[in-house]
Amino acid sequence: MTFRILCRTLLGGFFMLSGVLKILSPDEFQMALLNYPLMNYQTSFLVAQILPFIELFCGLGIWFKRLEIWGLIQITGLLLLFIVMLSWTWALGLDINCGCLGEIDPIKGQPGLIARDIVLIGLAVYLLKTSRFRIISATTK
Amino acid sequence: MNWLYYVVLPAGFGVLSILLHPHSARFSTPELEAYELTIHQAILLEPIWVDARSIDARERGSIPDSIPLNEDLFDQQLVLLLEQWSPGSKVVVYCDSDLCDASNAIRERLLNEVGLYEVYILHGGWQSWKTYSKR
Repeated sequence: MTFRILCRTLLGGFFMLSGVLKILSPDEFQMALLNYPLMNYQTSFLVAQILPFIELFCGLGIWFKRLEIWGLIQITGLLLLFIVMLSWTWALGLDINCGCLGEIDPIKGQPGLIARDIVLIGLAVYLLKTSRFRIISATTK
Repeated sequence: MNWLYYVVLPAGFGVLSILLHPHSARFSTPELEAYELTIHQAILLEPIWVDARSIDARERGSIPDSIPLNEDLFDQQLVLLLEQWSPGSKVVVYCDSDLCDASNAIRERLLNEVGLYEVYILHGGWQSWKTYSKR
């Protein structure tokens, strides 16, 4: 139980922090997004304005029983998407600012960022598995 | 319940942010003058970078291998640029952001007083470089 709380704090805290930092300056986040392939002003505008709130609500949502599962599924999906985009820029040899946590991000470079996302996916999958287990065990009682 | 929380709420707050946030993202591509280059266009040219900011600003960071050339020390610093310049060289001048005029002033002087050509301005200036690169 304590380990679950720790995982939830790390995962939820990361997403809430990431969301809030981007909400504070969507224009800077957009500039970071424009470095990614397939991003133009229109696409990056939508992503820069909506994604931070999705991250914030996901980070908050996983603390509530009724919202937890969908929050974790969304977080896993987002992290997989981030890994694909980071790998793509890595393969293209682009040295970019990922836009994840802005300037306070201690991790620089795609390998480290991808590794962090994999760890976060691990936390999300663990929480998802234990949540499902709890639901199944609750319904079989 | 879930769709309301995970779809409607973020979208709603996103719309509010577009309407109310003083630094909301930009929907349309900015219209650039012919002499303005985005960071990606500028890098492809492999130009001589000219830093039009003050010495104080430069001490906080600059584009690698850029040459300092600001209005106050124009005559003294110009020699640094001319040492690197050769016919066919492209020069890209930058200052802090879109809001500064220093790069425009330096560009004008390089064109009119020094007689250089192919002198461009980096759109977004140092801010766009910082966003582009972690260096």
